[in-house]
Amino acid sequence: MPDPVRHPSHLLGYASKAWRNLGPLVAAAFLALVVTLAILAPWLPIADPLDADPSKRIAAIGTHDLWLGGDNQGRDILARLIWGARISLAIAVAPTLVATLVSLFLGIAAGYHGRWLDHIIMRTLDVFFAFPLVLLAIAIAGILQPGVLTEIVAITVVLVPYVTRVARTSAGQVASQTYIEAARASGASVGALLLRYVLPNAAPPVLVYATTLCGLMIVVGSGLSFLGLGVQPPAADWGAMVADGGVVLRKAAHATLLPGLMIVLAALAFSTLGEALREALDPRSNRRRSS
Amino acid sequence: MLLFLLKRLAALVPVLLGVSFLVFLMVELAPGDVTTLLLGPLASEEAKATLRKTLGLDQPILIQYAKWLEHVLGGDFGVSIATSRRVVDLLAPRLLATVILGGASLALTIVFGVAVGVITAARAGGLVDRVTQSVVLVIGNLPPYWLGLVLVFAFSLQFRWFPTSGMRSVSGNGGVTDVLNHLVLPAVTTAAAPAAVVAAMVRAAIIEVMGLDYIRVARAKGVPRRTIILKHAMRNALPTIVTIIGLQMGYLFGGALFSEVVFAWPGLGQLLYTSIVGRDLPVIQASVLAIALVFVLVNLAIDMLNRALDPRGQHA
Repeated sequence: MPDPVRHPSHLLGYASKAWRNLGPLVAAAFLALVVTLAILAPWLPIADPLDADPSKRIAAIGTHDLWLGGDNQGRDILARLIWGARISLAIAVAPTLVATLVSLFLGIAAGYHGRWLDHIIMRTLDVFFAFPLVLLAIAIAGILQPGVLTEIVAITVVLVPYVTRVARTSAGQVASQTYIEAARASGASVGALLLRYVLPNAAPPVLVYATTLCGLMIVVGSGLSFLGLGVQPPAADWGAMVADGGVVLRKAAHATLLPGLMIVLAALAFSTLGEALREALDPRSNRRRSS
Repeated sequence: MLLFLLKRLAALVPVLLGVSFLVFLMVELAPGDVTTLLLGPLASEEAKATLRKTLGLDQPILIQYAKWLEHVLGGDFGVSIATSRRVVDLLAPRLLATVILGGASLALTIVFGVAVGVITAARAGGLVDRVTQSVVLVIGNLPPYWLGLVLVFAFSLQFRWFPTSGMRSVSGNGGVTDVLNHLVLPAVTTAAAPAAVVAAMVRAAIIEVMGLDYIRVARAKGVPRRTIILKHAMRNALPTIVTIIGLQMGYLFGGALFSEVVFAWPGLGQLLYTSIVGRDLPVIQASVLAIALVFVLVNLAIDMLNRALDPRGQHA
């Protein structure tokens, strides 16, 4: 790494260092804002997201008292973005949480027990890795009846193999530590050993990975909605709004651009948070950075 | 090399069996009754039971799977419910379109990903690097279906440079230039996010190699920086770069699925989408299987390439 004194753009070096500390804060603040608005949606002084007014069809930003304009059916885009956040975040976060729990269980079973159990679990996962992630999600969601629950199920299923692989590596490393051996020697039962020592020590890398995945899952989940496999009209989520807006792309591009922008910002925020968590938890990367 | 290929192919057999079983099971578990789908809602229970028997649906699931697999291996994917055509006839022309889009996107991913990665690594810490890093981070998070629409808005509707959809124009000659013209936007849409991720990872890989002793020696000898990066560092980072590109294949395939739908590109992804909308189960089954098979083969090719590039692993 170039050292800041010698490098002409050292000022930028400080700016970027500040951003490295500020970036995760901004990301967290943004997500907190979106989540708060989404939760408070029913009590906010905003229009009904399903209320279609033909006279406000594809209204431009700031016209007809609509801050962010109207969509192809004359519904308030701002209200739909806020209400849509509920589903868009839920279909990314809920599957990641469920998949993390399932994967911790599978990963610890494979990584700690090892031997035949490891073999069975990992060879089964190999089958899932033979599918591109998005293909499997589309196939599962496409076979089931479209709906939010379907989206959550589909995304959970495709996540489990990826998270389990991380959990298994993590659990395997923990299992070979001396404190595990010491606990076993002092007569801890398998249950206590797994719950009190293996789980808390194996979990952090898995949680970091899951946070980063949330970003990608916002994109994939909204993608399923975009294809019409998730939330059904007239309900709003960002992916479905992108698809709705696509119909009037020529006349009212903002109906497509705004919900897509929300997906990008949310995905960026989760990636930034995940990356910051990873650096905070990985002492190796800290040392490398300060050298 | 040949032995390695044979070993890898042998290891693929159980995986592909698993894949086919999963695809088979997926349709078995689908809600709704196939006999109702074929005979209509008014069919009598008796007629349904007869059909179930003729189709072999009354037999244990493993027997059904074995029979299905026997047909699939013989290239028989059944008949499309929506079009009454043989599924394999629907699949074949789609495969070519997908390979064209996938190949073009892969080429863009490699060229832009590696070029941007190398350039930013060479100027690590500089202004160009920092700005590019931020842009790359944003591009890496762009949803392909949205990027596709944004590109259509900008380059088809505003500037009218490229067509909005399809693979050949109705009025055009349908020749190579026509297809290329239609290919630009979907390929860029598909390649954008993977290229960004490749750029970031290639940058890190080159920076890592640049810290090694043999690079310092070359530098001390006075070898020009450009030569060091392009010849010395690149050669050593190449296996890592191939691995990095390989890791993005899943992402690239996913992006292509969305691109095909957004741009009505007549490939396997669009076939999958239309068959899902029409609940055409045999076509869903066949297109999922076909895409997964292409994916597995591409990954195998990347493994082989890596093997050829990195002789160190040859005895392992």
